[in-house]
Amino acid sequence: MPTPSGQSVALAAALLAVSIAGAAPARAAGFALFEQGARGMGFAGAFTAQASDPSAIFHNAAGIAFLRGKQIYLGGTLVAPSSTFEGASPFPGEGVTEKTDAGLLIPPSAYYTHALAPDIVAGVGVHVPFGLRSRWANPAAYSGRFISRSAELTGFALNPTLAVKLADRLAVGAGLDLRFSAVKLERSVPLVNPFTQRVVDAAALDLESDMSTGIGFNLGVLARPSETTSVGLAYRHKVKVDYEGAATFTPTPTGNAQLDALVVSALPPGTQPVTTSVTFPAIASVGLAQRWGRWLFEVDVNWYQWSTFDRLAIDFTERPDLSEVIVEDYGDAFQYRFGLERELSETWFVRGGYFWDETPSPPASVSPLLSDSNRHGIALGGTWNRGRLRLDAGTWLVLGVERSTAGVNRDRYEGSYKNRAFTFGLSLGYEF
Amino acid sequence: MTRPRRLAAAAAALAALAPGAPPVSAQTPTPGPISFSAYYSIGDSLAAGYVNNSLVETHQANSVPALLARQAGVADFQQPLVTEPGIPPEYVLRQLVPTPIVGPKAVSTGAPRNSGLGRSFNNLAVPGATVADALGRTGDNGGFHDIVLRGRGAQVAQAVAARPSFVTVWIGNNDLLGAVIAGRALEGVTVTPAAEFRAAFEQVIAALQATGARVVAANLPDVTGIPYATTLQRVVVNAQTGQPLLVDGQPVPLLGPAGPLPPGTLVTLAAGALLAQGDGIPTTAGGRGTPLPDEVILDPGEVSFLQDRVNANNQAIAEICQAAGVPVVDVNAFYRAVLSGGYVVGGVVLTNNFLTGGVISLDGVHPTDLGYAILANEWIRVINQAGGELDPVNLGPYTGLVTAAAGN
Repeated sequence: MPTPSGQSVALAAALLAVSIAGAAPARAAGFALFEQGARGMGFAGAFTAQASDPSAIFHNAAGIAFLRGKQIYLGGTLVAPSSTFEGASPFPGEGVTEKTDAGLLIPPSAYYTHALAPDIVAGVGVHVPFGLRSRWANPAAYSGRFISRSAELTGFALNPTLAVKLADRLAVGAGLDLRFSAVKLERSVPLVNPFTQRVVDAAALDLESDMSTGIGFNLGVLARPSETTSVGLAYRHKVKVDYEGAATFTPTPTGNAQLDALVVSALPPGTQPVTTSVTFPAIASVGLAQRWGRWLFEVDVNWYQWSTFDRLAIDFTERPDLSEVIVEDYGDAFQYRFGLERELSETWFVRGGYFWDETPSPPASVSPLLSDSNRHGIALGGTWNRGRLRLDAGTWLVLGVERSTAGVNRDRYEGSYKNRAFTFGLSLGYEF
Repeated sequence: MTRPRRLAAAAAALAALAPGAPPVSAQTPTPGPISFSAYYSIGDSLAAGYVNNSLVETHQANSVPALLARQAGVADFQQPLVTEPGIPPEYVLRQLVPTPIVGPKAVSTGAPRNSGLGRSFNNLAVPGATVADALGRTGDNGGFHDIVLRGRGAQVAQAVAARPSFVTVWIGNNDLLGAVIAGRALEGVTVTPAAEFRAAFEQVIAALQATGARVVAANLPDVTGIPYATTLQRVVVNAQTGQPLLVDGQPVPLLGPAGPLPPGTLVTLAAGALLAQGDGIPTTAGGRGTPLPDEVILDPGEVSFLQDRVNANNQAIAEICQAAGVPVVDVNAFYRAVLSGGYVVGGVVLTNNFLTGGVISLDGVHPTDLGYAILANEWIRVINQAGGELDPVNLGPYTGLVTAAAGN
C-alpha cells in the first residue's frame, strides 16, 4: 500500500501533549503493617485474645481494661523489605532482572494506659497500621520506571481508647482512630521519539501529598471464660483519607534539541495541584489463647477489607486532561497467625510463631509499585522482665511466595516477583 | 428434539471418561498442532513488513510472518529482502519544528538482495496487492509483484505449489485503501466491489485449504481510522498551539471543491504540503482562499461508504473462514482498541497518533516495527488457540527500552 511520497506535514507542537499524559501513574496498595509491639510480634502477631500489654490499643481495645495502674509501652520495628523481579515476554522480556534498593522503614509504636477506676481504663496509642516504601534500584534505567520508580506511604494513627470491664473476665473497648498520612510517588514519563520511533524518557514526575487526615474507630471485646482461656474480637473500621498535593514534571533531555523544546512546551510548568484518596481497609480479628502451665498458645484469624481498594483516582485539578483512574480491584483477604510462648523463669520468656498472609492483589494489579504476594512469616521473640520493667524483642522473616503477573498485568509489565522482608522490633514496657 | 441429542452427548462424555475407552470423535475433528515446517505468507504490504513508505530489509526483518517464523524456530524463512535505502527510499522525519516534515531519506532506491533464491519466498506478500492480485497477478513491469514473485506464478499459486504445512492470509487492505490514498471512493476503481472481494477471498482460502495446510487469516482495519486520514483537522489550525483557530469565536472550516468542509470530512496527510502554502485556508484566516483538491479529502459520504465496506468485507471474511474452519485474527478490533484507549507496554501508552503514537510509522498507514511486533502477538494468540505453541514476541527491544541482548 504505497503512499504518495515527499509529503510535508503541517502539525503543531501541541500534538505531543497527548502523549505526555498517556502514562499510568503509580499506585498504592497492599501495605498493611502488623508490627505493632515486640511481644505480639513474637507470637507472629497472634495477640487479639491476649492483648495483655498496652499494644492492645492496636490489637484489641478491650485488652487495656485488664491493665493496672499507668503503663507505657514504647518501641519500634526495623523493617527491611526487598524485592527482585524477573521479566517475561512480551515486556520487558526474559533475561531482564530488577531489584529494589533496600530501604528501611522504622514504624514506631507508643502506647500509654491509665486506669481511671478499677473497671475503666483509658489509653492512647501512636502506631502505624499501614505503610510502604518501594524503591527500585537504578531508577533512571529501570525497565518499570514508567509505572513506578519509588513509592512511599508514611504516617501514623493516633488512637485514644477507652475500655470497660463489664465483669471480672469480660471487657469491651473502643477507640477513635485518627489517621495521619502522606503519599509520595515518583515515576518517569515516556514519549515516543518521532525521529527514532523508540520510547524515550521525556520527564520525571514527582507526586507528593501534604500530610492528610482521616478518621475512623475501633472496637474490641475480650473474654476470659476460664483462668487459662481467653477469646478476643477486634474490629478497626475503614478510614478514607483525601490527599492534596503537588505534581512536578522535570524534563529529561532526550538528546534531540527539537524534541526537548517540544517536551518543555508541552509539560505543565511549575507544580500542578493534585488530589487523590485512599480508603484504608477495615480489619477484623478473632483470636483464641490457651495456657497450659508454662506454655501459652494463641491462634488468630484476621480479615482485611481490601476490596475498599478498587480504584485509585489521581486528579490534576487544573489539568483534567492529565487525570487518571487506575483500576486495582483488590479483594478481601485473610491472615492466619499462630504463636507459642514458653515461660523459662519469672524473668525470661521465649516465643515463636508462624503466619500466612493472603495477598489481596489480583495478578493484573501486581506491579512495580506493589508486587504483592502471599506471604509466609516465621517469628521469634523473647522477653526479659524485672519488677515494673519489661523488654520485649521480636523478629520476623517474611517470605513472599513467588508471584507471577500471569501475562495479564494491566501495564503489560510481565514477569515474576520475589518479595522478602526482615523485621526486628524492640519494645520497652514500664508500669508506674 | 434436544433430548435425544443431550443423552447422546452424555453417553459420549461417559464413554470418554471410562478408562481405556477409545477417543470419541467430535463432529468437527480437533486439528492437531500447527507445523511451521513449510510456512508461507499470503498478503499485502502489511504482511510484507512495509514501514515508513518503504520495503527495506531493516524493517522486513520484523514483518509479522518473519516474527512468527522466528518464534516458531524456523531456520530458513526467506523473504524478498530489499537493501537500504529501500523501495521506495524509506521516509524519515526531517524536522519536527516549526512544522514536521517527512520525506524520503535518499534519492536513490535499494535493490532486491536475494532475487536468485532457487525456490519461492516464504513471505509471498506483495505491497499493493489486492485479493484478486493474490490469485491472478504474476508480474507488474518491475513493480513489487516482480520483485516478490519473480515470474514463478501468483502468490497463491506459489504457496500451493510449495506444499505448505501452514499459511497465513492477511490481505484485502488494498481493496479499500486506495480510496483513502486517492481521496476518492469509486466502486470498481479505487474500491473492489463487495461481491468480487467475497468471491476472491473465498477462492484464496479454498485453494490453500485444498493443500491440506493449516490456515489462519486476518480481517481488515477501518481504513478511515488510520493517522493518514485522522491526523489533520477539518478546520484551520493555529500552527503554534495545534488548536483550532477561532474567528469570532468560531472555528474556520478548510475549503474544499464544494466550499467549506462540512463536519465528518477527513483531510488526509496528502493535504499537508498544500496547507503549508496556504491552500484550503480562507483569506480571512490568513490563507490563499484556494480550495483543497478532492484527492486530499474524504467527504462524509465517502467515509461512511468506506466504513460500511470494511464491515461488509470483514463479514465476508468471517463467514468464509468460519465455514472453512479457519481462525481469524481480529485486526479490526485491535486497531479499534488502540484508537480508543491505546495499547500499554510497560506502563507506556502507545496510541494511533501520527509521529508520537509509536504504533503507526511515518507514512501514516503502515505500522512501526513495534506495531508489527504487537500485531504478531495478536497472531500468536490466535495461532496458539488453534494448536500452535509459540512464545509471544518480546517487545522490549522494539520499544528501545530494553536491549536485544537482555531481552531475548
